[in-house]
Amino acid sequence: MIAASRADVDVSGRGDVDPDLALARSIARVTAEMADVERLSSGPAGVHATWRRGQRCPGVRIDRAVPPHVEVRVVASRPDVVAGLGARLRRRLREHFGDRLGVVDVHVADVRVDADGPDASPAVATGAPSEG
Amino acid sequence: MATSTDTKTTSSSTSSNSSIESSSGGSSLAETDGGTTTIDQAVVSKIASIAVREVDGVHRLGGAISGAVASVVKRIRGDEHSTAGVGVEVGTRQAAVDITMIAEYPVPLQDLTTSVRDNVTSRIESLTGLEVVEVNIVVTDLYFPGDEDEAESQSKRVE
Repeated sequence: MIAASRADVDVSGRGDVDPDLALARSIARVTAEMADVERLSSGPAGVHATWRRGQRCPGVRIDRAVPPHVEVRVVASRPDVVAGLGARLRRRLREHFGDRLGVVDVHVADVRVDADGPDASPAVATGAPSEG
Repeated sequence: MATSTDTKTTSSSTSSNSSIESSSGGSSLAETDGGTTTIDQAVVSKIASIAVREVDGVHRLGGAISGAVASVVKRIRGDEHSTAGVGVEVGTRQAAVDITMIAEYPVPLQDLTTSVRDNVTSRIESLTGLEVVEVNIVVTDLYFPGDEDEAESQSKRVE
């Protein structure tokens, strides 16, 4: 089991947090801080790290191998960040956790398309009859 | 601890003639720096949907029925962006797209479908890194400007 350093451990206020859960939460926090990531997503299959009742971390799954195999499921913040998002997120996690993480799989589950944003098409932005 | 970067493949519901290694949830892009990146079909669908709407001459995506269903779903869920009329099949490195749409009259349909195909291919390839091997387009109907005005005036006459 690879324990996160004290600096990485989220303070839940409830104490007695499993080190793996703390690592998962730290991964989630670092991931969510990226501008390219809208949010983490557990998805219909429920990708989350769970230990005890009430202790779960949606969107992050880690196994008990050494170093742990990590799966992160995210929603991209914009369409133009989808390409290369996995590599950037992986690099960010490597910077933060170093060799404490094994293989990091990234699943881009969805992308945010803001109807008022720069990525919206003219039809979407102007409310043209696109939805029948 | 395994350090392989093998890609995962699963099945897809969308039929296509291409020889894409399909995956039900998404496409897996093999990477060598310690993991894989998988892009879900929903992502590709949304990008394709936007790309189609960007082309002048496209009235809307989907046929009459799918358009009505999408409208209801949008009202219920408050969906930010509908992908009705767009079907995608994604594989490890490739994607195929099926589009159903209504075109505006009198736009030349051959030019329109060429533009749609080019834009969809360009957008998906640049934004996801997937190679687009097929963009199949079905134009289900033509929209005549003034149709809605006419419908409105008819309803007013009834009142």
